[in-house]
Amino acid sequence: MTKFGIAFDNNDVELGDYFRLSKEDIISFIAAHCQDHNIIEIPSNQCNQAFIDFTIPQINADNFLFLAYSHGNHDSLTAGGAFYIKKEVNSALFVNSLFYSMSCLSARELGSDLIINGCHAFVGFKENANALLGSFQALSIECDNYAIKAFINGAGIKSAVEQMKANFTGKIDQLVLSGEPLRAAYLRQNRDALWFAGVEDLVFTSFNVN
Amino acid sequence: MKMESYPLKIVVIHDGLIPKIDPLLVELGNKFGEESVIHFENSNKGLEYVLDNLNQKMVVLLDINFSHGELSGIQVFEDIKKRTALVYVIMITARSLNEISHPDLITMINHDAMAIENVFNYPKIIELVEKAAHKMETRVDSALEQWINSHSEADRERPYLTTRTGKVYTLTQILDEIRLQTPYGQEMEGNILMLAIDLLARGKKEIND
Repeated sequence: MTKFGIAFDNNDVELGDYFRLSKEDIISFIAAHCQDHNIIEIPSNQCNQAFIDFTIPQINADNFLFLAYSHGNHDSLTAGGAFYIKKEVNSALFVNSLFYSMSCLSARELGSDLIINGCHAFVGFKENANALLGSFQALSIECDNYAIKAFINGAGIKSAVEQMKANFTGKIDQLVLSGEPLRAAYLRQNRDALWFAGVEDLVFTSFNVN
Repeated sequence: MKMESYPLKIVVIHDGLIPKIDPLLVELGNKFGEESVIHFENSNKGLEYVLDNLNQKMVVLLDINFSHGELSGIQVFEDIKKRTALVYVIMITARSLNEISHPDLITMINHDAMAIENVFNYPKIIELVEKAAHKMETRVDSALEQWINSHSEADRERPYLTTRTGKVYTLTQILDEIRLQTPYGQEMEGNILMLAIDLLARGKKEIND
C-alpha cells in the first residue's frame, strides 16, 4: 500500500481549474501505475491548518507522498488567503514524506524546513512559477507532474527531477520552434526555479508500506 | 520576413528653437523624417506628451531652462525617469557645464541622462540621436515589438499569457508593461533575455524560421 495526500485549491478564482486538473492528471496516473494505493484528497475547503494537523498524523508514521497544487510563498502553502502548511508551524508533520509542491516560492524556506524536520525529499519552485492556460494548459500540467510520474515509474527522485528539467527544455524548444517565445520564456523560468533537496536515491518502492 | 516596427519619435522640448525652421529641427526631420520629430516649446506639454506615449520608442531632446511657470528641464527629466528607464534623454543647452548647478548635474548622472550637449552642436546631437536609435533597435522591447507585429491585430489584442496571480495580458499589453518597466514588465524582460541566453548556450539559433 502506498499512501498519498494531495492538496489542491480547486476554488482558487484564477487557477482553481488548473489545480484541479493537475490533481486529476496525477490521480489517473497513480491509478494506472500503482495498484495498491490510498489517496487522501484535500480540496480547497480542507486546505486549512486544522484539517492538515488532524489528518497528516494519521499517515506519517510510515513513508507517504504529499503533493500540493495551490498558491504559496517563501514559508508556506496557502489557500483562500490563509496558510495550511507553514514553516515552523506544522512542517514537522511531514516527517517520512516525499513532498512535491507546485506552488510558487515554497522551496525558499518551507522546503529546507521540511527537510530539517525529517521529510525525505522536497521538490518545488524557489521562484515564481507560471501556469500556461488555454490550449497550452495540458502541456503545462504535463511539465508540472513530470518528476512525480517518473518517480512512480521507478526513477530515483533526484534523477526524476533531472528528467523533469530535461522535459522542460524539450518543451521550451518546441514552443520556440512553433513561434511561441513568450510561453517558452515562462517555461524557462519554471525550469530554472525547480529545486530539489533530500535523499537523492529515494525510490518509489520504499513508499510501499503495510 | 521583414517586419515593420513602430517609428521612432524624437521629442524636442526646447523653447529656444524656432518651430519648423530651426536648423536642428530641419536636420532631425531630414535624417529621421519630419513626421518623427515633435517639437514642444512648453515643457509641461512636452512632458505630458512623453508620459502619454511611453508605449512608443522615443528619444527626448530636452532643454534645461524654461520660462517661469513651466517645469524646469531637470524636473521634466526626473518625471520621465520616474516612469521609465527606456526613454533616452539628451540634455541640450546653450549653457556651459560649469553654469549647471552641481545638484542638477548629479541628478542627470544618477538617472542616466544619455548626454549633455550644446544646442548649437547639431552634428553631435544628430549623432547622439542615431546612437540612441541604434540602442533602441537592439533592446528587448524592440525585438519583442517586431515579433508582436508579425501577428494580426486581432491576435495582438487576444488574451495571451496568464500569471499565477490570475492577471491576463495581451501581446500589446506585455509590450507596454516592458516599456513602462512595471514589475511584470521587468520580469518578462528578464525572462526573454534568459531564454535567449539559454537558447544560445544550447546552440539553438532558429526562432520561428
